Amino acid sequence: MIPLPLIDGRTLARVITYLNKHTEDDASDEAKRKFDEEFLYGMEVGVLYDAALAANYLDIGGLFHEVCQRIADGMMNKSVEWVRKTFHIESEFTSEEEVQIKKEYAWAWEGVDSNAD
Amino acid sequence: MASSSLNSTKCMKTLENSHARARGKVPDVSVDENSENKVDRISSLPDSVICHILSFLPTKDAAATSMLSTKWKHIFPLTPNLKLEFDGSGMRKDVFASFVDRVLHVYLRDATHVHAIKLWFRGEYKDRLKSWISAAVRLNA
Repeated sequence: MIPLPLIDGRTLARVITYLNKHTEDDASDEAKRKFDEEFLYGMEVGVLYDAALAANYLDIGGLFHEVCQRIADGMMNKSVEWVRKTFHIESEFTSEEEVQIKKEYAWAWEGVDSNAD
Repeated sequence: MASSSLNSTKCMKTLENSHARARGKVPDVSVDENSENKVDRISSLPDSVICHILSFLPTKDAAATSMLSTKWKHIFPLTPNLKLEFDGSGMRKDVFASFVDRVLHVYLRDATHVHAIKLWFRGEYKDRLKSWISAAVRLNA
């Protein structure tokens, strides 16, 4: 018996489902890719965090890669305000700090279309 | 017209994926709107996990995360795999070239942690291209 104190039962079950699919002898790459899409696209973001932590802890590169990509999908091409609101991130910057960092990273947005909300 | 990429096949695939994602062809992540779950869990992930997430974002989106909060301000500079993609949409070539100049020559001037840089760009910027490649070599990327 191998204790895994950092992973809850539900997350471990999902990890095992993923591994079972990816170790099937007769599953094609296309079938695995389709499975990953259906498996991950339905996951609520809290479940994705648990999966990322579990995959990182268990060193399952493929799953870690896919889950991180999926979380990144949720931030891609979105405004800072949208990401803060969606992911419940508190800014904690003072208004002076906010002005300063906007100036410092102005190069990241110069000439780029404003992100969609 | 000069074109340059550090690994053209991989870069094309990365760019295609980014395009598909940027065009909204990938469903947004679903977020539980239950008030009990309105907790900022993403900021509590280990820095290494957040860095890995950022490595999937185009550089402008990854850099923009520095604006999210005081914790995120310190994460973007730690990303070891830098992607600098000129995808042409909404970004003029000269603005992008200036952007790459600043990232490689100013922002990362003394960086020691950069593992890889993917640069995808097409244009008549031979001298700049040389300086970008020298910067990448200097960074041991």
